[in-house]
Amino acid sequence: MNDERLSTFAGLPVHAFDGDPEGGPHPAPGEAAWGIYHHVHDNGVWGAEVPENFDRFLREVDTTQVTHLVIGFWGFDCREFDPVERLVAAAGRLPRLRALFLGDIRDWDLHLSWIKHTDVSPLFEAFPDLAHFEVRGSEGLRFAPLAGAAGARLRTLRFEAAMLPPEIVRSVVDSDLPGLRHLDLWMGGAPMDGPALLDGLAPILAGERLPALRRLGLENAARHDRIAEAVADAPVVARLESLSLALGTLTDAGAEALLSGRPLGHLAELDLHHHYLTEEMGARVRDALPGVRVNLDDPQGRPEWLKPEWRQFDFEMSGSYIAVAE
Amino acid sequence: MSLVVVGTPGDRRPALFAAACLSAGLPEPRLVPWTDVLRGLPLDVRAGDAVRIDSPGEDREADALLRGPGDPARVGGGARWYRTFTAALRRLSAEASAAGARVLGDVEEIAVMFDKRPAHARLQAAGVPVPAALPGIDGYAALRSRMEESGERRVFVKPAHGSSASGVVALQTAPGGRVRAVTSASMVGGQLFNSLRVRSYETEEEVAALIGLLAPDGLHVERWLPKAALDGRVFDLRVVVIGGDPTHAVVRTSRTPMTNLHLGGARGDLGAVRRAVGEDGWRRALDVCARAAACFPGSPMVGVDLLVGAGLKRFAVCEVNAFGDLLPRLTGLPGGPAEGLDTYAAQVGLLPCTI
Repeated sequence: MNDERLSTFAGLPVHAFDGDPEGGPHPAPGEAAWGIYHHVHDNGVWGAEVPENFDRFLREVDTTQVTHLVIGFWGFDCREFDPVERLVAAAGRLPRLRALFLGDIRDWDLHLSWIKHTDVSPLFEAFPDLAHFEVRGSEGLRFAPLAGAAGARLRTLRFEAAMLPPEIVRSVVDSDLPGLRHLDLWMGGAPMDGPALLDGLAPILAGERLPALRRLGLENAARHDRIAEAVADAPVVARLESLSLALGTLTDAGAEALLSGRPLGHLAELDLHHHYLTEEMGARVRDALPGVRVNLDDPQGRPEWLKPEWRQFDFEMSGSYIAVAE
Repeated sequence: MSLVVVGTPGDRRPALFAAACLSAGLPEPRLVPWTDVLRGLPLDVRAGDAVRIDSPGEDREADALLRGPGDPARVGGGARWYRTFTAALRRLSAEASAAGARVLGDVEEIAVMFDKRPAHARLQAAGVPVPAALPGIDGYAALRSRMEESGERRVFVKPAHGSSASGVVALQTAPGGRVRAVTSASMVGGQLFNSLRVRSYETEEEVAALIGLLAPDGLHVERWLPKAALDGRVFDLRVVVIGGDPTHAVVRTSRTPMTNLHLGGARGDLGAVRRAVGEDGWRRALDVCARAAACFPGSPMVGVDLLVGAGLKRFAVCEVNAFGDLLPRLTGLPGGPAEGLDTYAAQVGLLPCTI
């Protein structure tokens, strides 16, 4: 559950620009990630909201120096305020924008699965320095494959979703991203089951078109054991420094697959937090990877009615849950 | 003298109270079924009796007598439920007095607790922190215009006489007049039913229909305050106040922002909550509950639903429940007068015949 706003984004502290009269002085425009948020007073009264605050931001801040931008909860849909449209319209005012987080929306504002988007593709044309892009929510989200300069400059790409549309995975696969270092996909309870899911991810796991990739996150996934089996045999892992199968449903079977697959000892970090591993398996993972920072925080215990024989079906049934399903 | 309990045979509440009486060495109380009271039958109450009024529970027969015949899963009928219930309470009280028996509690206070509007007003007048209310709303048009006037973006719309989450609507508006309602009630063929799943309505037409179905039974509308979260779960507190002392507390948690809407809510870790709010915060929380209970001085026990604000600093009373003690096996707060006792044993200890 996302219950806090970002405190840092892409290496800079987030400065909330939320219309709070007590928000304190603003930092230098180039020294913070500017978070355009709404403000709720302690007693529950709502203050200024994102559409108004975005306009104020353009008016009051020297946005020509701004490099990092975070957009908070703008509404239930994009009819009144379409963040992509507004950002593209303001592109001339944000010539240095390098990093954008679209939808730093807490669960209290709107559940992850309820966040609605539009086509984010125009952003990559409108901002000539955009190298870091993260988006939370996937309903209505469209993302055309990136090529040319837009794809070449991208370093970080993250999709947080409760159910990632297969089209998004396909667009990532079909993009030319020679410089991409960091890729996170929250799979969610993906509509793709077993084979379709793995077929969709196969080009990413092969890594042929992702030569610079150092971090891969396949997170918040309902089919984590299957994903772990595929990752265990994935050529791309050899070039990674960080691998994450966090926030999901990994059980001992998936961890066993990881341990018996290609070597992982070169990793700096293996993030498995929010998992269903037994303590014994957790200890085995740590013992097998002594030089790796293994994150096994937030264990979920044993799924109550998980039975191994059910795993053979493609419509896997389990008593386990991903971290952010709603 | 003997003890009489007005309740529902087979319900856990009178059984737990009877067990507490027996372990205190008292005779088992006589149970007067709510259905007898509701049917207007002569009541078996005698001079010197002490009468404890408990909840009618989830009894289908009592429900049909209170709300009228119909599908027990339907939402609505609250206005009729309230008329029948309060009339029965008053008759019960009058007959008990006439027979020379004593009612433990005050039926007029119970009546206030079962109408969220005067209950909220009473707490507010006493300076107890409560979420701001929008009074006098009789339908969707009034709701939206009052929200617009007062700048409220998010409110809870609650049936005035509802219990737990039944019929509660969490309503949000967004820029441009967008509206979204989340509720455990589902609309089927122009009727509302309690559902196990929380669902959302997103068009103005649907939301207006939803509010329109709830409005005839009376609405209480209040600001929807952001709740505190611990370990990725939002929570609120149920604090039982017995004889003026906050004696028992449980944490109710949920993954969704609407603790009391979410039917799968689970008990949380009270120790973690106490650490998070700090000793001073915890004392203030209990003080707020004691002050809320003091608004009902004739009631030997109330259950206070306490909201902890998102910053863990503010508290607000959402509701005071006349029958809020059904917390089996929960023992009293350490160091308090009910340490080691469950809510029923703690009340038995304060009965006139045991002191």
